[in-house]
Amino acid sequence: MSADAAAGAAPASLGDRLRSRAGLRLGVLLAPGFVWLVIFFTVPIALVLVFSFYHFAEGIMTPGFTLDNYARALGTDVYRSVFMKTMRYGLTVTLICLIVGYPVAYFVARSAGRWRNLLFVALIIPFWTTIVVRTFAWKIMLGTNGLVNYGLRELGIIDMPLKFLYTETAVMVGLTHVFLPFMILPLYAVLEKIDPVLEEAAMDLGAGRIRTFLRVTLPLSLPGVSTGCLLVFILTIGSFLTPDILGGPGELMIANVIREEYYTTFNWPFGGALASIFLIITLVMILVYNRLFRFDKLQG
Amino acid sequence: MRIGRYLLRGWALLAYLFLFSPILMVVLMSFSKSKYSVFPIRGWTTDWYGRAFGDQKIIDALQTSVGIAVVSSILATFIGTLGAMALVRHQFKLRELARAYFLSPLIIPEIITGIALLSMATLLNLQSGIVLVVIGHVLFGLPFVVTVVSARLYGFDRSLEEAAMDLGADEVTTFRRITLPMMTPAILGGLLLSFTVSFDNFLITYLLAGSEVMTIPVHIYSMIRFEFTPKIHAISTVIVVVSLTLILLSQTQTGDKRAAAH
Repeated sequence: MSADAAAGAAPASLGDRLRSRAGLRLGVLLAPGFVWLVIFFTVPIALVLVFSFYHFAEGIMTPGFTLDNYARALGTDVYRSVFMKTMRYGLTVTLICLIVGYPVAYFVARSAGRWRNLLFVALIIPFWTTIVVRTFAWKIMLGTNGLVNYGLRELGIIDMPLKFLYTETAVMVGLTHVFLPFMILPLYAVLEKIDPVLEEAAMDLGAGRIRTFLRVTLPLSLPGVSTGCLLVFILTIGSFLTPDILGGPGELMIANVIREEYYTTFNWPFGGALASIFLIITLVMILVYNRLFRFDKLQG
Repeated sequence: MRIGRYLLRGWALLAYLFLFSPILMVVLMSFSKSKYSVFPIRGWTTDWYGRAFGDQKIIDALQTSVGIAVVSSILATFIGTLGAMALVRHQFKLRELARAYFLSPLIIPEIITGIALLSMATLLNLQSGIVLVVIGHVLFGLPFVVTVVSARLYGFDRSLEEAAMDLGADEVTTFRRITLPMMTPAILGGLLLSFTVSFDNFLITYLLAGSEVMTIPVHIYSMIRFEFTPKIHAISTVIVVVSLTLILLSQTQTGDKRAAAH
């Protein structure tokens, strides 16, 4: 209102008036979101970075500038191996999800109309089941008297129950279960848009099924493959709950160690250094991905 | 030719089995008579539901969860809807960067957001766990609201608004009578999604809630860790059913086409 009145009083050109009103409106629309994100997201993360250069002695954090925390994070075997293990889990789970998920996404995308909707909705169910329940379920499933051991015994494969819980296998199974939908959904979105006519044309021209897949379907689905892999990798390396519940002390990942530093030893500078290194790894992954696949262009 | 198709179908079947068997198992276990989670199940009961709902701690946790989810989903939906309007309806430099900024809380590891908010709270001497939890949940709800509402706005034919203006409606009337009703399904969809994101969240809540605030996922976690009881199966089944109902509702709001594109 007042903007209108002011514009009416001073004879501004119509263009200026529109531009400034549009600018004002844009500002009003963006402000709440930006204020929230800056105050509660960017600034707090910047604080973690700042604290990571602080000194820490006898349980007390004092301002200053030191690189000791980083030297310790990168130079100590324990922490280096946690980082390496986290990356290894990330790569393994991404690969498993891709191998398991691609055929599933393809199958769903090529199913007939009503079936496709049903199968798609079915994928959403595990996606939206809270991670606490899913991880808890695997703890029961993989226990000595759990469904997996029961099944193996009924099938006569084993006599004595196997120990799955608190092993790397359990963590891998749990992580794959949690993140598989994140692979299937982007793959499905891409595969569904590929016109089956293209595949038929390749086959009519004499290409076999495998050749058709390798030369037509797979290249066209690469955007989905890359999005799925990035999502699964980044989410996996950030896992806390799965190694916490299904793993033993040997399976702790970087998020578990960061939490320890913040909540048990209260060494925020060192925890901050671990978190900062972790953050940088994540951001580099996203930037590389962006460079390679133009993420922002795909979103449109 | 045929064999390939059967292999594909079999593979998909196994994958669905893998995805669903743990969830189904929890549901089955919630009706099992045994005090221990063992197979095979020998006898059925609905007792655990009665006990779970007779447990004051569980009731309190449910109430806390719902309260936090209501507040944070309303905030996220309001902020996110405005943001989506800015992103879709305005041309400006760095628009794609602005969009990425709105989506970024999903891609930054949750543990980092958690300790970051903890650091800020300590610096400001902010002691209310529940406020911190809501702040964090809004961050995670925003990307969902922005995505769903943007999609709706992109698909909307602006000539309807122009027609209303040509017929003499002012901007406010046009917004109220045309734009808002058109956006309502997406806004409701965003509200339901962000509610579920908050209701299901574990890590941020666990890190920031402090000892007094207990939501249902955090309570389930502590039961898993410290005092196993079959009530976990019952309450897990309940919250899975609640989440799925909300998500299916949000799918009907955002329409089948959106559901397919997700």
